[in-house]
Amino acid sequence: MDADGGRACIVGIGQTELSRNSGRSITRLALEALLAAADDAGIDPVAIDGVVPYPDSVSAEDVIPVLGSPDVRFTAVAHMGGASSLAGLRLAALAVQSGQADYVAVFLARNASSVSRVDTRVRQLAGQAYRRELEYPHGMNTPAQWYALACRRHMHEFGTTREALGTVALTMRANAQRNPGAQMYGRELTMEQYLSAPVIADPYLKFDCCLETDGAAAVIVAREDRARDASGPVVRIEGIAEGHPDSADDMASRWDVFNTGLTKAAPRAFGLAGMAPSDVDIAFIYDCFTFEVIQQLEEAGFCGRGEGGPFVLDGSIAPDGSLPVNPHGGLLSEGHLTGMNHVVEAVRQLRRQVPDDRQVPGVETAAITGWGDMGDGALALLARA
Amino acid sequence: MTQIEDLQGYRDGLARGELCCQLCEACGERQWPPRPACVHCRSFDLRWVVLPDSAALFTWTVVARTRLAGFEEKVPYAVGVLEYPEHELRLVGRLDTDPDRLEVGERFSWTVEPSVDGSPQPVWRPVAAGGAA
Repeated sequence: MDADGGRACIVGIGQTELSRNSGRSITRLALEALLAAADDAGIDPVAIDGVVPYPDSVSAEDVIPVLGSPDVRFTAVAHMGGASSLAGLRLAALAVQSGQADYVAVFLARNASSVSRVDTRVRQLAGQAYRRELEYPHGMNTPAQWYALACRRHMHEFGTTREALGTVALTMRANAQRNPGAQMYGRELTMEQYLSAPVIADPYLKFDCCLETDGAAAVIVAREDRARDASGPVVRIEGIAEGHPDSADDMASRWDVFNTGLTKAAPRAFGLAGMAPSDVDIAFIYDCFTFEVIQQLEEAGFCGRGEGGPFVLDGSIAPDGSLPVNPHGGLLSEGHLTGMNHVVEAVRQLRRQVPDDRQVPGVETAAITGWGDMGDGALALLARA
Repeated sequence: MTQIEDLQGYRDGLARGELCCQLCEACGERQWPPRPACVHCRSFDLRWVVLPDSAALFTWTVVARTRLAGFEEKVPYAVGVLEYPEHELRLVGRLDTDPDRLEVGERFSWTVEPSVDGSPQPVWRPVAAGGAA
């Protein structure tokens, strides 16, 4: 993704605490994360001339007055559910590379634990007429239920086991024990506890499901030549792409149920970066549910379709495995900032800014997946400059 | 002038006790979910036809927790994806059966009955072994 002045880079990161009840407005949370990101980038917030918010939440207009730019030149919103964080990062990269803006802030803020829980949030996604008339009357209205359908089918076709799902949950929880900022810090999880937890939507048990979180995260994107004042090493966006599944507004009718947005986005991102899955040192997988980690490992190309269960059972995603995944604990155990917290942690890991017990040694490259809506997907490939 | 909504034909079918999908008059393909035009040939010339009585279970979930109005007291209940391979169609349906004894490939047939809000909705029950449909 070369252009005059260098590649698009992440030059600043900011994140609030993650909690069950922030006690303040989402606009306030957004501004805290944005100002922290500007400080981390070593820039005056007035220099932020591009703003990419998360859909259906705090808008660009809500934060611009405090950021203070007299002339914001670029705003855009990607509508891809949980994949919107990466899709927004891509819009920011395109904007700075084309010279439409110099410093673009991408942010997400939510009080998803204390105010807007998932069954209300999904009423803003695509295909609402289908949800309302073809699913609600049959008792189906949450992502846990939609994705449980895909999980059950994967178990049937490929023999994916309950223990594989549990291994994902336990790996994320163990990772969170090395992250004092994680919502599940200090709360270890055993396989026995995992297996005996209540059913949410079979095959999903309680600990197969991600957390609900209050908090905000932001990153600032600029060309490499504008990254001089950043606090840490520059992190390049080597390749980033989005993808949309067939029948993007309806999952149940999709004929190839595992062919999702990430399936299409991943080869594009790897092609742009000139990388292969084997070149990735650490992966941040959008772990809204345990099975979605297995599915995305497959569709991103880290293992073959159907091989995701054995891949996680082998310990591949553990900190000492061949592909450490979500060292901060992920959406399952750090907190759910729709993947913006994955981007923030990826930058921290690439800058070597986390404590030694959490730092994956020798990290030069990171992959981040996005997953949202009815299977929209995105992949970002980052590297230390 | 009243706008005709894209799902009106589906609702009308349920009111008659029929579960309907769209059939394209131009290319002859059936489609689900209902759309304003044919996904195969983009024709707007669609009509509504009744789906066959029975379909095979492709996958399912058992909902054990919900805040959805009318369903809170029904947990645990099964919701499945029913498949018509001959038309490459799959749709979501409420399964009125023992949620602990579901199997991929099991055949279910639909009837239309009043749902939790009184509206006519399809309900799927197992086809008895050796039965018709």
